[in-house]
Amino acid sequence: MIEVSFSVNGAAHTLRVGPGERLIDVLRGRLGLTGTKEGCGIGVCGACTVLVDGRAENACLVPAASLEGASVVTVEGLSTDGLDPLQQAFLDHHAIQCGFCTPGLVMSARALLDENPEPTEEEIRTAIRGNLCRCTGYEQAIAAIASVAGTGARALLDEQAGLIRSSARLEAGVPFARTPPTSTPAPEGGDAR
Amino acid sequence: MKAGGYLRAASLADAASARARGGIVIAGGTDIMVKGRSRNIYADKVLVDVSGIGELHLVGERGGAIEIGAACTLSGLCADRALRERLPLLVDAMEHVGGVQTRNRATIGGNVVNACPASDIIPALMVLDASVRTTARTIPLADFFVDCPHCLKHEGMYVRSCLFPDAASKKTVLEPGELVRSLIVPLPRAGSRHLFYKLARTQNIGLACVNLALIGTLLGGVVEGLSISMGGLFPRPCTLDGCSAVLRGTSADVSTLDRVKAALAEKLAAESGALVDYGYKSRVAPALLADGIAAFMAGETLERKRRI
Repeated sequence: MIEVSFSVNGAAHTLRVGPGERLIDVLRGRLGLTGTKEGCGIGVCGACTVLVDGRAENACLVPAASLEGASVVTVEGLSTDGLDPLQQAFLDHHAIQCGFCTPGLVMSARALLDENPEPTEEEIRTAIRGNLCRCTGYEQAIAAIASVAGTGARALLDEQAGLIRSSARLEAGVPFARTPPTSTPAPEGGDAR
Repeated sequence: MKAGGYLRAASLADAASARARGGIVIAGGTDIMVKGRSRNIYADKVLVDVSGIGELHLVGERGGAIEIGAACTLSGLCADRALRERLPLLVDAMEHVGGVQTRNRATIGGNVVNACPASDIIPALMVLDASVRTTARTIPLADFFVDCPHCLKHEGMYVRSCLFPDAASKKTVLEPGELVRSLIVPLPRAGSRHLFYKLARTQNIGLACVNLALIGTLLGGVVEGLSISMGGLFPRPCTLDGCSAVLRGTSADVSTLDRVKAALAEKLAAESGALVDYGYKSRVAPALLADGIAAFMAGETLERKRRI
């Protein structure tokens, strides 16, 4: 066993860990921080994304023994004083269905915004490329992140707002005008049935 | 995952002696942690963590070349403004590796020593004529690898890591107790243009099926010199010198590109028994190479060209 001291969400921990023990097992199994999810376990899906010294990393690939002196932030660490604006934005934009990928997506987004508060849409897409989501199709997540970000991604938001307005019209039963109403007068006295 | 021990090496000498005793060098761990978990091959091995050794993190320019410490992370290098300016091909290739989370841990030295045939970085380093500086010597990258037919056979390289617990001892000329300190990358000639393309199953973060790195110069619309390397096709990384020879002095017109494709097809035919997915790769690789050269000549990226 190897002794290692590091902080998780600001709290200092000194633990004896196995030589191959993974950060995700320490977080979930020993510290009870089950907000971080394990999806693939091979660094592909990003569900276990946490911040290590401010950078997004897959907790399934990090040996806990390598963390001497490191500062780890998990999704629990974002919401010590109410929800993080990003978490609220994910709710507001319905960027969630099953929710399994959400902690990872939020942490990737947090890392992006901490480093680059005004990302472009392309930068947002790059930042979450390592996070798989099987439900949402990503667009809502991108809109949620853009809504918290600065002006760089505003154009995307406007576009998204357009889509939301369109779907609101559909739900209200308002048909889209496909042809001008005056262009097709009903045939005189006819019953086309 | 299970390991027999974990040593945070304080110096290169520490790490070298631990490796000489059979230790497995770990830097970012993005391959080791996957292999160890899925195949439990490190249960009796000591992991030697070299990420804390300061001199493995240095980047500097000397004598027309940039020396990059082996434990530099890919995202750290990609964010280095000077490197983006001086070695744009290498940065382009590194940005194709995995997602942000992987690039934040994965190291350039680890990628080279792991010697995966689907590596995005190795073809770029090959055409840049890089060398590997170890604790004992400096080795041209072209002489650093040994043939590994196994890599080409298993699951068409769709698996994420190689079969060997210690890739360095199976797929490179590193001696026991020898460590990679840095990579020495000569600066490209002024006026060079480059292209990198990764063909993968999705545009997400998967491994390359085939990839392509090009760098060279044109003089009056004619190829003055062009270095080409493709990953995912051969039992060890190589440059496609036969194809380069066909192109030199031409404007890469259609008939020249046909001869380039034929030269690659001939070289690939030698791997017909070794390469899984040969039927697919033997058709796609020449087409990809010709498209890549056409895009290179036009000063385009292949991504943009293929989208049209």
